[in-house]
Amino acid sequence: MTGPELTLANWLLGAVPVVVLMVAIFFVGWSAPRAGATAWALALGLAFLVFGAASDHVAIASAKGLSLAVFVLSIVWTSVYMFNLVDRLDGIDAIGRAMARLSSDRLVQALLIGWGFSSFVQGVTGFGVPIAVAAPLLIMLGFSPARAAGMALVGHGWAVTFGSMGSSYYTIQLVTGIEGDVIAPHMALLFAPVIVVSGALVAHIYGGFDAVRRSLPLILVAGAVMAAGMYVLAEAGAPQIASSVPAVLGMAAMAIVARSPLLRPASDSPVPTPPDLEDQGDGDGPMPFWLAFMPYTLLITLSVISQIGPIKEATSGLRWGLDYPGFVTGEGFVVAAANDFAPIRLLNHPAPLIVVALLISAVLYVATARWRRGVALEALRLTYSQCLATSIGVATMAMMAVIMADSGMTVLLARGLADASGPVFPLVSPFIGMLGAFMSGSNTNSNVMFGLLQLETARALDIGPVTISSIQSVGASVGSAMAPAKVLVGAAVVGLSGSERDIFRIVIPYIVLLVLLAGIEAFIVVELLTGLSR
Amino acid sequence: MVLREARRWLRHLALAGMAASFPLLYVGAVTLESAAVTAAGLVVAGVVAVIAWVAF
Repeated sequence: MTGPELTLANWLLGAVPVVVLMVAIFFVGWSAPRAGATAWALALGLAFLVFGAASDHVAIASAKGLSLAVFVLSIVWTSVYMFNLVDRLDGIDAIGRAMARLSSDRLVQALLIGWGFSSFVQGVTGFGVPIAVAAPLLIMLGFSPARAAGMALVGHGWAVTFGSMGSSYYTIQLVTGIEGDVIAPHMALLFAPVIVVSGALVAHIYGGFDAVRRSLPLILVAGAVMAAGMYVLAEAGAPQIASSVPAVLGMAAMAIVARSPLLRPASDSPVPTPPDLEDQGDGDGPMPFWLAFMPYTLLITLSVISQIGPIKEATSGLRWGLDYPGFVTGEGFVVAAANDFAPIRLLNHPAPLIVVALLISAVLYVATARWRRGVALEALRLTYSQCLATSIGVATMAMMAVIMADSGMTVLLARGLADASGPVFPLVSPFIGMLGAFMSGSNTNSNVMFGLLQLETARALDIGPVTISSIQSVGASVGSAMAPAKVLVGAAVVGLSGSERDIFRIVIPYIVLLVLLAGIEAFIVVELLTGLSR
Repeated sequence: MVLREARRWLRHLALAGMAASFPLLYVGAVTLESAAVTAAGLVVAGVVAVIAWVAF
């Protein structure tokens, strides 16, 4: 026996924590901590009473969940602190003013930052940071907090698999054992429509179908540039930069098209710089952009430097992670031992890099007389109040997710979806990837959980294993954008802690649409364009 | 006013409790393999869940 038996009753019971979590947040209006605590208690009870997990198994799983929470929350706390500190020094005002000057067209600004810049940041850093950086910029440009978070979340989803220097891509490649020169370009091809539609969806969040129609030339040109860039780099054996470089190329394309006749001017009046972005005209003058953006520049630079082969190798031992033993549940579900679980690597995790970037920036701010006494403590107090609810929400949801994974519930859910779908499995496949990313908050974790399952199912159904393995990661990439852990980061950064539902309501329909698009693509490739299937 | 203050206090307690449950769970289930310490960790985490339910 390799886990709980796949029966309708077991499947429905396995789905209870996720369903309760979603219903509690979306329909009942509970806060994330309250919904997360309830879902964790349910998952723990079901694992113990129905799925054969012993008390030490659920304790180990809960501790692993807290390890994951530490991994995530260290990013949340440091990135929110960085934003608050820069904001308290009037740096965010300065960044907002500079971004507003790139184009007076707010639709272009939304696409540049929500689609292009957030994807670039995803390319070079990772979990949560794109939202933490891009959403506040959009707010500074006058967008509502929920929309700002929504645009950044939806806009960066395509860049996750090859983002974080390709960590999720390498995971699916390692898990499935498919050669990189086979899966990387194939996956890049499958990402192409997703990239273009992501841009259109950001425009739709901005201003509905009118905005999509007006920005279509820009989206098509920039999307084509991004997709081509991703394919070329994947084919050339450089998957680790197959998100960041295309995002930069895409932003350049957007800037060019925005100045060309291809983009129809806005029918409403040219959007003025929002009043709160106008120069304040104080005695010292506004902070220059380069100085205001210095913490983010340093973060991006340090991220890139940390990925340079020899440096990465030399510092690979500098990490903190706990070892967890493996176990077998009463239902025969085997959980492998995990060494260095959710490790915080000194030079390969955003939190330590953010701290270093902040320290260097603080020295620069002091040297340029921009520093103010007491500002560090002010920012810390604000960060604590903003991150309190987020921390409980992330911790309880992470514990729930790991209990579900380690008691066999998550695999059961995926097997049920795969079995029930049969010939339309390619349509369902990216939703399994999305489920994994939703549960774990990570494209990488989803690929670990479901990569092999997808490959084996494809082989059993005799449909392209490379296509299905690729689409697993495409679904997880896009789906990670609506993971509670990520949405909570967005909510904390834009000051909507406790109102996560507003962001979920914006993001979920768009993400489901993108995952459905990925499924349709996979179905067409596997069933109709069989020559393309691998 | 009193209720709001109590909830504010409970929120801090929830975070502290969550932080306390982590080492208890890890040490109990992994390091010591002690049923008593593991149970204590699960109880603390359970209490935190109840506090979170009330306070948030």
